[in-house]
Amino acid sequence: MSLIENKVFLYVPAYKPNFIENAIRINDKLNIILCLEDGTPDANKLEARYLVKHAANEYFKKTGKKIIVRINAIESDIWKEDIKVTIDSKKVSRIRVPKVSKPEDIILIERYIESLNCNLQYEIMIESKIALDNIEEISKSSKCIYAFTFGASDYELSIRNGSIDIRSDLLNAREKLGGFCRENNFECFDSTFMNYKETELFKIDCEFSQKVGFTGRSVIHPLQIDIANKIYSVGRI
Amino acid sequence: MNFIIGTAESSDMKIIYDDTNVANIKIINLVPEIPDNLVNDKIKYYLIKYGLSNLSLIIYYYGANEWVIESRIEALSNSFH
Repeated sequence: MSLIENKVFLYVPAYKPNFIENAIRINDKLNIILCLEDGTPDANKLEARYLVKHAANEYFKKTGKKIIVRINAIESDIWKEDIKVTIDSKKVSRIRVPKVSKPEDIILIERYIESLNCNLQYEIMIESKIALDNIEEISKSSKCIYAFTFGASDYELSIRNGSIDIRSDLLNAREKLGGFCRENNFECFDSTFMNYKETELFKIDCEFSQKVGFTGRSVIHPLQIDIANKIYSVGRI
Repeated sequence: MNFIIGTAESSDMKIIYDDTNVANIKIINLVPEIPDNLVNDKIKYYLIKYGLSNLSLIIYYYGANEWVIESRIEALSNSFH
């Protein structure tokens, strides 16, 4: 399945070479996202960048596909190093940008990438209510936005204090994001489902997700891959 | 100043740098199926490539593939900046 058709993404901690190699072995079923953000402890972030750089080359050599990298958020002081080192391989297709809240976040990243004489596509992570409220403005900030993705854990944190029914608010947020992406023709990737052993619940959740406009999903465990592939492979409904 | 790059996990390589010792490269191959000379040659190739062959290093090899070897050594070279 080519990268264009396959909309299932496996997060791999970028500081673990054995995890990366295992992911490369099952590459035909999914796309790999090497995570420099929450998946990599602070103490390992410098080393992880170089693993990403060389893993991208290795992945391309073995599969002909380019890798996706989740960089650290703008609010960190290390996102520039993430981009500078990892795109050195020229085998990174997109960056997944976490904790975006306003269009200026994307403009800042784009200016930096342009200063490196590169161009990349972005997957914008919507992880807070303020980001979702700003989605229209964010979507206009760059022509390089390929997709929006939903970050449920951080979104939940952002609404926890003011929410009466968190579950309902999360479902509403996913409907709003999926609907926006459907209307504006963006790819839309849903959040990870942490209870990977609950495969039947995961299937039901993917069916809801697709119905409201999502076109793919991030997964955290091989048990989830075939389920997600089957549901999202039919395309947007 | 000393620091560690990499881990002792399978498919990895761990480099210990210690600037209090005289320049010396010690490579310990913990994968008996792979001949020592192959491991040594590959690691030394990248140490030379990144200008690190005159340091005091202890390197434990746990089966890292070439891309991991190069990653760890390039990370080491950038740790001095």
